[in-house]
Amino acid sequence: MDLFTAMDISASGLTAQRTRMNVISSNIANAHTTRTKEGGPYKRRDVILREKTFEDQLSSVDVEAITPNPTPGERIYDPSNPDADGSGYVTMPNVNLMEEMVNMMNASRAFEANTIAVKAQKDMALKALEIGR
Amino acid sequence: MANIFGKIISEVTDQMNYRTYRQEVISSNIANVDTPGYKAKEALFESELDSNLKLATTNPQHMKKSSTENMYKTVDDPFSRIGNDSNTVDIDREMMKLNENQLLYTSSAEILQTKIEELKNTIGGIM
Repeated sequence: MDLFTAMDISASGLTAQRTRMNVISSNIANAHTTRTKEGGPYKRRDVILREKTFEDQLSSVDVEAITPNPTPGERIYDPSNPDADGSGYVTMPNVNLMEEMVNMMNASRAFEANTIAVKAQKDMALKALEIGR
Repeated sequence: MANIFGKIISEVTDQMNYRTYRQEVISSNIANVDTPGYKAKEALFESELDSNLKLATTNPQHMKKSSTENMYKTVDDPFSRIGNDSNTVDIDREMMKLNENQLLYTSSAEILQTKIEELKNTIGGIM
C-alpha cells in the first residue's frame, strides 16, 4: 500500500480511456467504409471495460474486449455506387457520428480526470519526501 | 507510551497512511468511471466507524482490536448516486474528494515536518 499503487490504478484508467479514444477514432475514420476484410460495410466497435479487483477492495480497470456492434447500418439510395445492390441501395456502416463525438468527449474528460489524479499522487509523494529535510 | 516522539507523530503518521489508502480508493473510483456496474467506494477511518461498529469490551479478557490492523475499512460510498449503467461514480464528487484528500495529506506532512523540526532544535539546543 503506497502512492505507487494509486498511480498504477490511475494508469490503468489512462490506458482504458486511451483505448476508447483509439476505437472511437477508427469508428469515425470508417464512418463511410462500405468494404471490409470480412465483407460488407464497416461495423462500429464498442470497448467493454471491466473492474479488476485486487488487495481486498481496490480495483483498477481493464479492457475486457473490443466487440463489433451488430446493429444494421442505414441503407441509402445511390445506384451509381459500385457497392449498390440490385435495387440501387447501399448499406452504410452503423456509425453515428454524433454518438461518436459524445463518446469521444466523455473519454477525453475521463482521461483528464485520471491525469489529475496522477498529478495529485505525485505532489503527495513529493511532499512526503520533504519531511525531515 | 512516552518517548521523545510523543503521541502526535504516531497519530499523524496513521493519518497519513489513511490518506494514502483513501487516495488509492479514490483513484479506483476515477479509473472505473465508465465501468458498467461499478460501485463507488469510500475508505473510512476506524474512529468514524467506532460509534456504530465497535466491539463492546465489558471484560478485560475480551478480544480487543489490534492497533495496527484494520485501521480503516472500505465500504460502498453512502453518498453516491446511480447512473443509467448502474455505475455509481459521481466524477465531480470524486475530484472534490481527491483535492480534499491531497490537502489533508499535505497538512499532515506539514505537521510532521514541524514536529521533527522542533525535535531537531531541542536536540541541537542541548548539545
